[in-house]
Amino acid sequence: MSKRRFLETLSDELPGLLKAGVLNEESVQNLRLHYGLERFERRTSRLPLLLSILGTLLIGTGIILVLGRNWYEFSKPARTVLSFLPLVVAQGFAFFAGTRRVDAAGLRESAAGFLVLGFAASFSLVTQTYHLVGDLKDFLFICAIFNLPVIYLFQSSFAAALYMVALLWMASLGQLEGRHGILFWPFFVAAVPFAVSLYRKDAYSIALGWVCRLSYVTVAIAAGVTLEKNVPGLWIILYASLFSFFYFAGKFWFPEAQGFWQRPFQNFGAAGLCVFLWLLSFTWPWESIGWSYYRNWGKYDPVAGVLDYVLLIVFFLAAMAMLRHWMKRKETDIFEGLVAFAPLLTLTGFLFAQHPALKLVSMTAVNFYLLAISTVLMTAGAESRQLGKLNAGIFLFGALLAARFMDLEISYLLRGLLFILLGVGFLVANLKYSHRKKETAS
Amino acid sequence: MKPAYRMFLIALFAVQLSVPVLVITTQERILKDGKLVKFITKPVDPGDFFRGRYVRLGFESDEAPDDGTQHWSPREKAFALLETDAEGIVRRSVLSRRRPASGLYVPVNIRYAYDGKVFFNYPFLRYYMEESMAPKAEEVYRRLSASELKQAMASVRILNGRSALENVWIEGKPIIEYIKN
Repeated sequence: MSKRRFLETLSDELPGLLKAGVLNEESVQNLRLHYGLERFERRTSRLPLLLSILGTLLIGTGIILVLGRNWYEFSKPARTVLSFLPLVVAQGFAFFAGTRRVDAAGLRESAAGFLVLGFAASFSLVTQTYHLVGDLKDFLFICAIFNLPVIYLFQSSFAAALYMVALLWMASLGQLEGRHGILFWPFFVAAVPFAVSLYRKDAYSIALGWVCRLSYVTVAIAAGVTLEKNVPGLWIILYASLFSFFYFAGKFWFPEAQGFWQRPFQNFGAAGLCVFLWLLSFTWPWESIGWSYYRNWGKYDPVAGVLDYVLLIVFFLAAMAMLRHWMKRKETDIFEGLVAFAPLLTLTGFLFAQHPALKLVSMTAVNFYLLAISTVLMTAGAESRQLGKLNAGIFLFGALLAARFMDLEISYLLRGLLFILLGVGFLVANLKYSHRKKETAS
Repeated sequence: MKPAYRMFLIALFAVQLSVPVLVITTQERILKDGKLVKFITKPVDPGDFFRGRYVRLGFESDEAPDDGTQHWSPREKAFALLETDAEGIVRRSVLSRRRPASGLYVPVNIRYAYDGKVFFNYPFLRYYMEESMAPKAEEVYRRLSASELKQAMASVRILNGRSALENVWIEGKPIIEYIKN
């Protein structure tokens, strides 16, 4: 039985045992203290929080729709006054939530959500009353700026989620319009202390879990969206570093995480890296990359171009810091070693691919690296009887095989030879494994 | 609630309220003190003209001569110095990268330059109206003849480079009244 199941069972059984007289009040309290049941129950009680957030969204959008339906029946002065209504009501509710002595997460999150949506609604209604066109990007930027203090004053993960979505949307629009999205990064960093404060209170809370999940997805998308790509190919090193960093952030910062759902960073990092390396196993990422293909025409912003180098250095150094920490701990997990060294592999591959004759070397190296990852996963999964790992390894191997089999850019002869080599390798590995098992058994 | 927390909360509420208040006071000042100018509208793509809750506006004067020396880029910001006739109708615009020291001007966004002309967008491109009226407005607009279209105008107040769209007129009537009748 997993620890989580045990705690769930214990939490369910204790009231009944107390009622039946099997345990007294003191024993129940001692058990609850000993197993940290209160913290566990707080973490797992998702439903009230979820309902509060959903309720807020429904009420908020409902008010906007009701106002919108009858809007043009009001005179302009009436519309001007009514424009303030969503914001004023939200502020009243937020003040009420702030004055309560009991810290209720649901109430806090609802109040913060109302305040964010109320401000956006009021601002939008005023601009419509005066026929102001405005840029959606500017609108999102203003909403995000006023959302930031709400995150801190209400310690709200819901407000943080809306904030990240607004920033990402704003950055995407900026790039689509031929400008840039660099403002995403300083504003994203401005919300990081909030996540740190949640981490210090309880590293395994539901709120932090959701903030982390949204954070890594947002950062992964924003990295691609905000890059100016003046030097083609730098994204290869950046993304490998990003995923490697995510994996070890999960491992080192959340060491007591149990089960799949409590390891979002690790899961995303590992899965992201494997998918990314699979994409790099083709020839197209290695085509026309490097400084000899420097781009400074078209939709190009020279200032934003500097961000490419900044992001690359920051994420690469972060990944290297994780690698150093991992090596200091003298860890022996081969899979983790492969994840840790992936940024160095891509850096080497990028440098090799500067010479057109050597890009095949980079591609081949990635293929063998991915093969090694899949083999290690399958072996580890089989030995420790972890079906998840075993299946992940098999799936990755299958995806690699399918990609190379279908890859028309590699000649039939080369493909054939590679497959034969692979087959021989697997047979040898199988023989060795069987031999070792026999030795262990005897 | 701690006093410091309450203070921060009230400060946040005040700043949030100040944003719409600032927009309203600025626009009302322009509508009250700004100079009235009229822009003759021109047809835009019918599919775009009435988009849900607003009428998309195009203007005859949204182009300026391009002598080829300025090298205008799409999405570049500029200022359009407006030349009006005796009736206050804008007949011509002259573009400048610098804010003019005097005269009637508004900030604009360059769309593109082609064939000796530069095309740009004024900051008042939308006239918001009730969603259910938009299809009727579209039908009315389609039935207008070319000469009647020339009498479709937007009245705008301009003050120190800031603008406020007052109304859209067809044959001397506000568009909403025209549609209702």
